[in-house]
Amino acid sequence: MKQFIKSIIFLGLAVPTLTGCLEEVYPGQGFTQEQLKETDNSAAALSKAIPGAFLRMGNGNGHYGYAGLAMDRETMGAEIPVYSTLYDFYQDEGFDHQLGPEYYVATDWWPFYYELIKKCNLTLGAVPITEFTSAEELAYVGNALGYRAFAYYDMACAYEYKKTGFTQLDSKAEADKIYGLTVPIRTEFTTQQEATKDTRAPFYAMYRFIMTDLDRAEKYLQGYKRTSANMIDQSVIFGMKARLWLQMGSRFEKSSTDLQAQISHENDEALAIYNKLGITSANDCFKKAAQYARLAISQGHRPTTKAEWFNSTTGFNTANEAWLLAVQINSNDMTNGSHWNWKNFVGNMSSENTFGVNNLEYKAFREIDAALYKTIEAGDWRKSTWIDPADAGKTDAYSKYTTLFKAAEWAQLPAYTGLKFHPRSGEMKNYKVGAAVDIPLMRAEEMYLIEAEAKAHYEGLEAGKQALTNYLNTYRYDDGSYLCNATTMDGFNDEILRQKRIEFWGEGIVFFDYKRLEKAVIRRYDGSNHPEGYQFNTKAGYVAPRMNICLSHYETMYNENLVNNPNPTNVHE
Amino acid sequence: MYDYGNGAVNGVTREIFLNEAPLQDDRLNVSTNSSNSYGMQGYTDISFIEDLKLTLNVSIYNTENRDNDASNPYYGFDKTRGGQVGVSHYRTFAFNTQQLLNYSKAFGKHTVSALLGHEFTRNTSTTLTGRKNNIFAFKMNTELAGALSLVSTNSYKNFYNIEGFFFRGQYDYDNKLFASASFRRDGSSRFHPSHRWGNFWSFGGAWILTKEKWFKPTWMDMLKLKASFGQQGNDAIGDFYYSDFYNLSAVNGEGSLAFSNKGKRDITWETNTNMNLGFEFELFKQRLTGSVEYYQRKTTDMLLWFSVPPSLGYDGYYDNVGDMMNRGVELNLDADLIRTKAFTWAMNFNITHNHNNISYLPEQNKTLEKEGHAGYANSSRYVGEGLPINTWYIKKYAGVNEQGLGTWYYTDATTGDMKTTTDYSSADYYLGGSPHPDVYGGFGTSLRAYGFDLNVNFIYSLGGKAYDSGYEGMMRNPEPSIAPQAYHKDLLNAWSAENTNTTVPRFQYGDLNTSAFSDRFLVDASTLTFKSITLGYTFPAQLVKKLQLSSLRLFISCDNVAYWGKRKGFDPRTSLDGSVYDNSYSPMRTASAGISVKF
Repeated sequence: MKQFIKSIIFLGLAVPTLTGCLEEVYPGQGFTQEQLKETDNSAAALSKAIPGAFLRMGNGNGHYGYAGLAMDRETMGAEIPVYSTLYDFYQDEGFDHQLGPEYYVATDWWPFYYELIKKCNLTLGAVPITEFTSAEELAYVGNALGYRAFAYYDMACAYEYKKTGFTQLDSKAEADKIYGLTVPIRTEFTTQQEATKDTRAPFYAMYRFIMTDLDRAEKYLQGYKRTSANMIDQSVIFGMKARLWLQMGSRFEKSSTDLQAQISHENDEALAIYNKLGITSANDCFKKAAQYARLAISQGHRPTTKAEWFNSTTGFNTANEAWLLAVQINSNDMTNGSHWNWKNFVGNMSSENTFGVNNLEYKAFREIDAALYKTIEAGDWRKSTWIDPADAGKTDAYSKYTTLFKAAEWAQLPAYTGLKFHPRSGEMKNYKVGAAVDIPLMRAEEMYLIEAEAKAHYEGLEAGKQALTNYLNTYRYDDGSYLCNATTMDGFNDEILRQKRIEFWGEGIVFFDYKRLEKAVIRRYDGSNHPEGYQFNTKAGYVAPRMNICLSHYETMYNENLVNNPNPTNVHE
Repeated sequence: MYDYGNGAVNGVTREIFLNEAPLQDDRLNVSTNSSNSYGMQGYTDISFIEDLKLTLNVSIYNTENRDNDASNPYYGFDKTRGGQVGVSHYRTFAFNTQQLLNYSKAFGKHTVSALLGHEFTRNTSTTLTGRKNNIFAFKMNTELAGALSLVSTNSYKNFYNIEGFFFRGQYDYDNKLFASASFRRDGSSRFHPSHRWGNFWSFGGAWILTKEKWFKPTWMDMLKLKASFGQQGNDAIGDFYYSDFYNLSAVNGEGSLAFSNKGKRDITWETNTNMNLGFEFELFKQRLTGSVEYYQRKTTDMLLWFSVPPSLGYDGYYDNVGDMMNRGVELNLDADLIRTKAFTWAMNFNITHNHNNISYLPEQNKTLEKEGHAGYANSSRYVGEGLPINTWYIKKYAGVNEQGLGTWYYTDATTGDMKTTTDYSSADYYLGGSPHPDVYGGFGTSLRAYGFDLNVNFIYSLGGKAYDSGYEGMMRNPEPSIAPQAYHKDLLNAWSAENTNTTVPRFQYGDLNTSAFSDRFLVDASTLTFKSITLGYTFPAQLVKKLQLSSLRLFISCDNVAYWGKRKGFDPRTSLDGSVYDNSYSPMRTASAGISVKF
């Protein structure tokens, strides 16, 4: 009996130790591919990840999502001179150094765009298009295609090498045969093997690829009403088409060889997957640019009003009907540990904060180019966005300006400081509220300017000037005093660029126009407010060397068929 | 009163480290960690049928950590957000159970034993974190409840399981011939269910020749021949690498699943197969003893990170990329040179030579070819067929040119010649050698005389190339975006019109490439370490007996006494793959003294 009891006790103790079967484990954070398939509404969540990609932090101090890249583009021009270089996170663009393939501009831009494209491709792969696909799902596809086109548009313009007028760079580009090359195309069908072997797509293929995505998106987004400004709807597609057609128009007008190249490849077997462009001249492109710009406007977008512009709590941080597309940051999007507390747009572009570097403590104030400011007419109500040198430091001039500061603090800001951007809800201390802003990516004003510029080409200079004059007098001048004095197309282009530089100060848009129109960047002149070490002028009629972005060396390291752009570091007069 | 450099103290702002005063932070800020752990093991041995025994083992081990950090709201960078408090709690719970069935029987001169077993391990780790800004009363409450604005909270659990079945058999004849064989089947939760099981074999034998009657030589006291063959599995990568992985996050308040990692479904166990062949001997009445062993260790299905072009939207993934071979010879010798009653002197010496190379890579992982070796690049390393693992993939420095600028090599695409360029970005990558030593080992000696004993030991490693990051950092030229720092005195030898015979480029403010990553900073990783020295004295037996003790010994010793490397401050022993940083800790020199008493 005792033995029996002993055995029972032993067995009782032993039984728990007999457990042990390999159990299925699931991740504690995040989801595996299999779990994704079982989640409800995974297509919606994948689709939401696309605007989320606009918040990807880069390694450089100035790289906080897409806004950081936009700042890179602004500082490559002469748009936002900084007051004190000590806390300027964009010194590379100022001094023209560290622009090579191993440095942050090259290594942060590249994965930003391609991770965005990957997310678009995943959404496209997740939603099959059949006759049963719901309108909601078609909208996800349209949104993904639109963002993919957005990314490729940016890259095609940024990475294509354009003549700089400096022989050491231009002749190397010639020898390396990279003229006209953009970036590799990645779709939901690209395999890993292809990625290690393929080459940079030539411009004529890239334009058709982007246009095909936009054509499809236009179709799928028919009738779609979006719920937030970071989702793409048909008006955004029209806006992107307007931009793309304008790029092509300017390009084909300047170079008939490029036009011939585009037309001659129209019937290529290899490019048959893309829609044909169907153009025969540069003016065909300009016509389409104006047409789509007008379509974008007619979908319910209008320029920012004076009241919206000069609102110290909602000005340029809250999306409205003037904004076609925006980056929208919510407090909860700012994950801890990613340095959002000091790496953010508001902390760099608005002086009304204590959490960034553009403030009274760290003094990295952003100003407007002094030469540009002097050309702003008195009748243009946008002028009081920046502090007039005659008013700087004088508390009695305080009331002319829209700012969250009190007079005494405002008087400490230097001349030319921009007061365009504001923290959300006037919150200057808590970055979680103040930096959680909307950032414009495309606004209706750009559409008006594209329309005016395009008209000048296919309807004649007078028509273009008329369109520009009407637009500015209606929407930007209180007294109807604007007059366009351009006598040549080049002069008119300069005027359009000037208006864009004023309108889109701090938004990263004019980089594309500088490159498209091959305009020089002028920082050195009498009375310049650019920091001493940044004062370089690039060559007239050529693109600034720093605006030809280098491919990331991580890409060229793993794909020997990709030839990089020449390194523009320290190339200046 | 500390100066934060922001002008508050005396109106003067400091150019670097604005708003920082580490000494003040050290006094005011809080950082605590409290932890506890416990472990329990239990077992039962149940002997039922004769010669058969069932053993059941169970063990649990639990560790917990609670961190609390708080930065003060009065000064410095955290002032604008009112200070910040963070609390985290971590727990790891490891559960392991084994069921073993043992059989052991002797039949005359034959002894046989067998073991059949099953083992299961489950590790669970949990994390809980919270962070808040705006501490209300810093001196009174630095927990989350004492702060006002929520920054973030998070919690998650991770699991890892392993299950294994195994068998082992052993046989020996008359204590002079030994043989054993075993088999193990393991499954790991780190792999996909259809690839998670691995099978591993091993067998071996030994033969003590000197015990054989026909073995004549009397000067050989012991000679044992041994051979073995065995396999083990390795699954030491993170979890869920077998599947594409998505992060859950909020985008403008709505749920989004953002692609984060690429997975490879068919990754499975990495297998290490070892083959050892050797003999142990004792000669001349145990005056000279030692062993010689030849080994071959083949790793198949090596789990390694495979890099891809980032235009795919990800950097790479874990894959069973290929096979690696380690082959080598090991020699161990111990000699008693003098052996008398009052005085003994012995020496020991060992040396190992290992040759490592990647023996096979599958076709899809061969994306490049360098110097005849197909493979792929992984940041600053090249994984190539026929090359050692972690071979350097690095730009080659070509010295300074006539203007004192640094130059690097590139290969002309048309002619194939190596040329030099002053543009670092257009220089090419080349193979830079292996970080592994050619030979390594140790030697030492011990003396014993009149109650004193002295033991001295050295360790050495010859060969291999390691990268001296500390030297690279101290040889760079100043530039606007880096803070002031210490510079190496070798910069005094920088090129100048009067000093043209040097490899150090001219000292130029703002030149970022003077100390760029290249083989200029690859250094021979040979080292000699004076590992330990111990001096002791054992009191004579008669004296000790009077104290009612059976033995008494005093000793002093020093460990990690010194080491010699190729450059002062460069310690390649801190890294296995040749990446040496100036902030890695060398083994600390410790000195100790003691008394050993036996009753």
